[in-house]
Amino acid sequence: MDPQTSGATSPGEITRLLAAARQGDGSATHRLVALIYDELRAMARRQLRNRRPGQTIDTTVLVHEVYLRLVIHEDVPWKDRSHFLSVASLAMRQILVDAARRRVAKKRGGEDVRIPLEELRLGMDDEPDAETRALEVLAVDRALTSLAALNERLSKLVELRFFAGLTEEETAEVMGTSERTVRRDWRKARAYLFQALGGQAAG
Amino acid sequence: MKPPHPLDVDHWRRIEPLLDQALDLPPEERSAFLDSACADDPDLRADVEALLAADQGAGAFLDTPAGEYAPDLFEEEDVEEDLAGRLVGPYRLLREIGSGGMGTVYEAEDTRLRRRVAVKLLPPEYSREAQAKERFLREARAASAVDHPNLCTVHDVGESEGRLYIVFALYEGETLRERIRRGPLPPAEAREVALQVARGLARAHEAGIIHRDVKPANVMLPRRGEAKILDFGIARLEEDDALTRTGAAWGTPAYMSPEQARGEPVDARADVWSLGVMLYEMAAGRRPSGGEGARDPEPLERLRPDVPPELARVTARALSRDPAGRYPSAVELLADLESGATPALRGQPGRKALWFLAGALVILALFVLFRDRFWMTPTLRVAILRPVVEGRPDLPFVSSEVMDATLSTLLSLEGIQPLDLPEPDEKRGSLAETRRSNEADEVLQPRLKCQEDWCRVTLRRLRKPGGEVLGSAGPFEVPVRVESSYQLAEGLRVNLRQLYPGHPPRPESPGGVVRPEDHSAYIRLERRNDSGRRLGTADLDQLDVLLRTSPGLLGAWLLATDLARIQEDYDRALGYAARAEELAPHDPRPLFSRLRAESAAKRFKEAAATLERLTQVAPGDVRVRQAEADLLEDQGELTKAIDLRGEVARRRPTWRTLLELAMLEIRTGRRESARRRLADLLKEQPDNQYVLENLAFLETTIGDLKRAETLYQKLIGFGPARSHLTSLGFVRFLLGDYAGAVAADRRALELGPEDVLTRFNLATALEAKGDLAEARRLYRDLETELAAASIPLEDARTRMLHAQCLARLGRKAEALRIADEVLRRRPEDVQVLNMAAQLYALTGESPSALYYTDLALKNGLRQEWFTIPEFRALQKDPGFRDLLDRYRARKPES
Repeated sequence: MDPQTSGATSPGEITRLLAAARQGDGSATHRLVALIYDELRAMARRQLRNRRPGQTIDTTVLVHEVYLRLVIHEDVPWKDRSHFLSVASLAMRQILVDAARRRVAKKRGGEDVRIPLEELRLGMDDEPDAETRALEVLAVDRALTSLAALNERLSKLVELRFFAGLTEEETAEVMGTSERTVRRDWRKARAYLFQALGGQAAG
Repeated sequence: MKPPHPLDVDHWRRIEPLLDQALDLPPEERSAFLDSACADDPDLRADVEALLAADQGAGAFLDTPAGEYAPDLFEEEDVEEDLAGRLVGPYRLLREIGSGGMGTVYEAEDTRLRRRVAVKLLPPEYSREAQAKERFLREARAASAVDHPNLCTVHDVGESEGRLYIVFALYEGETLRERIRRGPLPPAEAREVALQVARGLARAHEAGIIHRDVKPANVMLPRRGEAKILDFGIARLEEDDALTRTGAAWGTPAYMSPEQARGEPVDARADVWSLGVMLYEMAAGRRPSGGEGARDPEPLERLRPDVPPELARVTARALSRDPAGRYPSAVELLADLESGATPALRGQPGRKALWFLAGALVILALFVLFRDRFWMTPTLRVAILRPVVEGRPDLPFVSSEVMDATLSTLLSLEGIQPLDLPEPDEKRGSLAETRRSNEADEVLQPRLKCQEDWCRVTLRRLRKPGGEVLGSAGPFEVPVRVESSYQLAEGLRVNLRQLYPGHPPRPESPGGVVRPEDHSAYIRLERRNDSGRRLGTADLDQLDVLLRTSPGLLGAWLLATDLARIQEDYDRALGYAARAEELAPHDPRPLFSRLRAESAAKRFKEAAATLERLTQVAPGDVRVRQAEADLLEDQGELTKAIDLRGEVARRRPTWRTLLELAMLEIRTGRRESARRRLADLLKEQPDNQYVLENLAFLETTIGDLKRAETLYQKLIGFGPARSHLTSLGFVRFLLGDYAGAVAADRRALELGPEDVLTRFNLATALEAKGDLAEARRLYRDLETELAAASIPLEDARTRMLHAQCLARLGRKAEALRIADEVLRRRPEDVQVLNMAAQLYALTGESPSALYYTDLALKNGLRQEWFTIPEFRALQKDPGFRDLLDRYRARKPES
């Protein structure tokens, strides 16, 4: 166990929090996100230390590893898995956004991170540099917040797919919908975000 | 495609089902479907179609999960270690100021010359190829030999511990890239920067040096002085490196000429292309589209019609896809750009054109000659409104920082006179805001949409609050954390300049350097000050330190002035004020600070002169009137001050100005007016302690004692204070509630056991209640103490108190002697008059007692003050009863 996080949770706490969060306890969700946030980060750090050159971090693997760890150590009931994945995806989003913000702030001394629209290649173009990618993650995060105001389900979907890297099947499980709905919602959400970020039609 | 307008939920609810259905249809059937589904709503159709197009065009967008797409986000701890403190050659690295693909830049000290420089450490891999390294050193040395105001001065290049480094001049400022991120440059500024960059590049091309990586990030815009091109010759190294390793193209793709992108050998024309991209981006706010596709970019003049025509022309030619169509080098580009707005001259100008030109030149010359006179546009008075903040309710300091920074920028623009800022607790739509806006020609409304500690800022010029929009700037995003305060100020500065295009910045005063970290440190102090914590000597010393590195920090000079004044170090305060004035000669704030210091130092003659200067710098400004009133009050010219206070309170009816007026009214004997004013004020500010305190005092002296008791109890409810408890005790004493008085006085003494007045009041209350022994003991202790203390002559109340103790202890002669001394000075204080009457009543001097009773009653003191037990001896005196009856008839309404 990572010494940095081992003391953070008492046995059964995650289970209790999951149960409370499922019943709509907002502060429980909050605390849960914070706990999982730390777990995920610690796990990412460990992976990073042991990784081979060229190997990237797989967020999906991270999320599942944290889950398994908690199942083993905390006796989280299997039925809470969907809920766990949902909370973990939020935590993952926060980790990535925080990291992106720090990176950009470090590069630019905390300066304005408005992105000229055409600088966003949005994964369509050749390899953007690390800073641009960090900026893109921030931009997606921000557009996602505005999407949440229109349709929270679509925003959650993007969180699961893009930030946590869940498969369509897992996403459908978490959202409690069919895979077909996931696919169509994904297209809608993506179209919205693409447009919100000023993406130009390729071609 | 234009960025979408923000959609609201209702609209989205109509869009979404249509989008669902359309996505299920083959693309060719969608149009017909939408024809029937949104027959009557073209806007709805347009929105759905835009989203369908986005779906089609999104390609691989978001297909790769974020973590995989940006794996380096997990590598925050793997970034290069901070080398601050290390020695590289003779340079001591001080702190990292930037980093990028081409290495890390440090602020450093040249240990030999003791000057600050910038040291760029190249990544270690660049030192591996001996040949490339040699060439880099050779080229960098060649570049450093070219001296030009628009080329960054290269001091030195070298190698240390296997790493190449390059040493150049340290500039305070930002890069053009950072500048463009805040929006396109206004036409005049764009032209100026274009000229400066072109001059630098032309000089380099003349010397046979090609930059190879001209881009906004490589152009420095120092806060003072001209634009500088950075990083000459470094690109060459990267070229070698990239070519040897992968054979791929190098450089920054967005600014790369087509031939460069194909990996072909390049010459000066590649720099010309990059310069073209940069000029286009600078003026348009975005880069020309096209890139590898053969499409020509949209002409600059169509995107920005106000761009100087020569800039549009030069840009178009520089962006010729065929190198042969471009200028051969920056030298020719510069010549064309400098030929100005008269393209006719470059061809063969006809006679007409020449005459026209001659005429234009004459007009221009006349204009230049008489500019000052023609330029006398009336001053624009601008009222800055409190920002509207959304998305984050609790931003205690941000609003005031936004307003302060806005004020500073407006003061730095020609022909704008910003009016006084709203008070910290002034509400939007208040009467004060309306009156201020009515005095202004227009108002400025900042809006902040915040998410966590980032805010999207929009600035609007309006005719009046909520009125017609005259112009707007933004939105731009700024961090609102204290450590980023400098960015907030900078963002506002740049956007405000664009918002008032007819008002160019005033010429900068010397010494305007500000370092962001000093700015944050200053803002921290300012916040502590605002939150009511008193700043001390240590804080003043901190200001000294940060002002040494950031002498351009006007706010810090002002804060230092005020702090030194509070510490009564007036010469030091005036020294700071002088620096602030030098920095901002058109800004009234340094003069206000100076005035406060001069008044505090009682240097009234100097203060009057400062006031005179203020009237010139900010004519008609309400704060100047207020300052004038303060000064008059300090000099004891109360009746003159009262008219000014009245004007100020009329123009800015806030609780502060009304309270100040009421307090002055109290001091000048207009108690009834003050009492009505405060009672009105209390309706709006039921919990305002200053209002409560002053009104309670008035009710005690001239008003309703029962009401006074309630008010003091309310004040004590906020947290007991010794003075309020003493007052409560006294009010109860006047009301005849001696037990209640004793209780209040005893509580007061728990908080301030030494207080003379409370002890005296307790003694009188005990005496009235019949506890004579304890009362006598208290009188004796007090007398001994007061006899030993040397009470200043002007402290009439304490001296009268001493006299009373003596009288009550039976030492009549001594008591009367003190009273005589005090009263010879003809005090106006009604409480002293009352004490005199008491003393004479106690000592059996009826005529004197009657005289002072009359005087005190004439001055409005309530007759209850004369029904206390002390006057028992006089109760039978018909003259005394007459007197009280006469004033009782005039009992104030309650």
